[in-house]
Amino acid sequence: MMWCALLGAFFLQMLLGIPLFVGLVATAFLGVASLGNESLFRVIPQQFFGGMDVFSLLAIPFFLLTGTLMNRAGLTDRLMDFCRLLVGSARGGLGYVNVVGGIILAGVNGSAAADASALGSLLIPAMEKEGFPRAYAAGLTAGSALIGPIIPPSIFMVIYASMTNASIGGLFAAGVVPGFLLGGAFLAMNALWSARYRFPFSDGAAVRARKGEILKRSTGALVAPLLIIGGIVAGVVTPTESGALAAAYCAAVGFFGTRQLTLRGLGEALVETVRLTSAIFLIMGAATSVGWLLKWERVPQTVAAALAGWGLLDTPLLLLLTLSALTFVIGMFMEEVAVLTLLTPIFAPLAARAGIDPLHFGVVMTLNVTIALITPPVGACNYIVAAVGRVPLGELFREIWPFIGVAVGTLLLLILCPPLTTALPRALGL
Amino acid sequence: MTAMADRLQRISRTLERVSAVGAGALLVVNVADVLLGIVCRYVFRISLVWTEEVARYSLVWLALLGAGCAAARGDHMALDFLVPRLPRAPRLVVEVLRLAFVLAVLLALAVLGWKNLAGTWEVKTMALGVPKAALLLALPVGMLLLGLQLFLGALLPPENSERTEGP
Repeated sequence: MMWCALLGAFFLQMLLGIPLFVGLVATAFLGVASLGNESLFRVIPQQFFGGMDVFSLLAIPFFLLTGTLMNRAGLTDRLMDFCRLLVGSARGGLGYVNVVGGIILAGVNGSAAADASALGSLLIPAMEKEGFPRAYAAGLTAGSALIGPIIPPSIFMVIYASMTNASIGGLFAAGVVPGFLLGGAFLAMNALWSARYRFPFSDGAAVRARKGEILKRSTGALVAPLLIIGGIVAGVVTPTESGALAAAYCAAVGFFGTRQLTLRGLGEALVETVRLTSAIFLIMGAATSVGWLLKWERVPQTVAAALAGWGLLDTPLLLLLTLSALTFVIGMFMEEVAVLTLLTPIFAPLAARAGIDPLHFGVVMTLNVTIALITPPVGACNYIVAAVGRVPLGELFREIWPFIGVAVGTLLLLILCPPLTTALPRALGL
Repeated sequence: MTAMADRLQRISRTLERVSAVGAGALLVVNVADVLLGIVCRYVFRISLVWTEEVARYSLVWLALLGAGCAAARGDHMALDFLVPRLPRAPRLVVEVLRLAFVLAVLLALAVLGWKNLAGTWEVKTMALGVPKAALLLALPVGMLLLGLQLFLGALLPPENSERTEGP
């Protein structure tokens, strides 16, 4: 009863356009009020603060800053030229450029939103000009952006690790193969669609004529993902340190290499990063206080007892499918950082009890939440590609389902075959 | 009337600037702090005890100080599709009530956060010897600045296109 009222109050606040983090905090306050224990009110700001004050979360602003600096230093443009040279001349070539660009950017950017806006603003207009349907170009961009949080670095994985005992390095390594699989799935989809709908060829000759120049110009940009992933995998630096190094590297290349970064541009990049960091952290803090209320009311135990009653804790496969289905439905209606912060403390112990490898579950959970970025009605990537590609949201919502299908298919493959995630971190000893 | 609006506009922009410059500077401190840690470990073979504390303090302060700046640019996630479609009169009523509600929640966070400071001024951190309260203070300060920014933003006429474009 109390939970129905709280859920109703939360959705009413969302309908009225109240900021998500305020809605979450207010719901936590209402929950405490309904418990009738006044001394508990003070716990909410404590939890709110505690959800933000975690050392490992430091990686988040670093990865955001790196992405912003890549764009401002002109490194993202160079990467796209490189992709065009690599895969641009087949039928539907710009589609492949979009996905391969997504894979490479994923190695630098920690968030899908950053990938969606970088890829979208460069490629959706170009694809449309060559004759791709606009909604397909936007949908594929949203799909490519999903690779971002799976291939390291990943803000979702940093958040997941901060709430569980999983190591960030281990999770990052576990995401590499699934990220390439997801990219491969979108490449295959582009091949099928290109053949079926006769998508256009790009002018490969013009790009190939500039081959030497493009290769030379993009070397500096390709170092950034190698620096991040290599540094972590080799164990020379922690994931957080790799973020700081990559940000410093991009700033240095922007100032002295490409010379496209100015002091003013650096200042704007800092402010942009701070704004995005603040928005993410406030949602995490707010969701942490709601999570505390759920724990206080023993909701995780109730859920666990129900699932155990259905025998799900003895069948890891069914448990993973059930939790994924739940996350999918909740993710349709809620912002992704909030979903991750709310569900991880409830789901991760269940997975551990069922004997599921923590890194495997971490990647499955990350992919679940990532897919929520493109499920209507609430999905950040859809809004971004619709805005940068000037596609009406209604049209995008109709055309996005095949892309969701491809991502869900990849998720099912991972669930059925755990070594896809666990083999690499094991081999590296992470 | 316009003089008043001008003054409010100036206060709002100053607040946004304070939030942006302060939080941006903390981000620079943060990056430099972590880089210093790496250099000391690999070049000078020493590990500094205070880098982690500096990183934590600056991270929390930058996230909360940046909240006002994020609000001024509309970065706080909200699903505002229903209210803008209402007719003018009910829309204004909903907007006023909504703002009052948001401010009340922020104020509650700030006041309770302030109360939680009690007794933490004497607790000093291990490496830097800074009061723990200096860390916890970020919550009330951040929420008050955010509330003020939202309040001023509501009083002001809608942003002109030059500013909403952003960098």
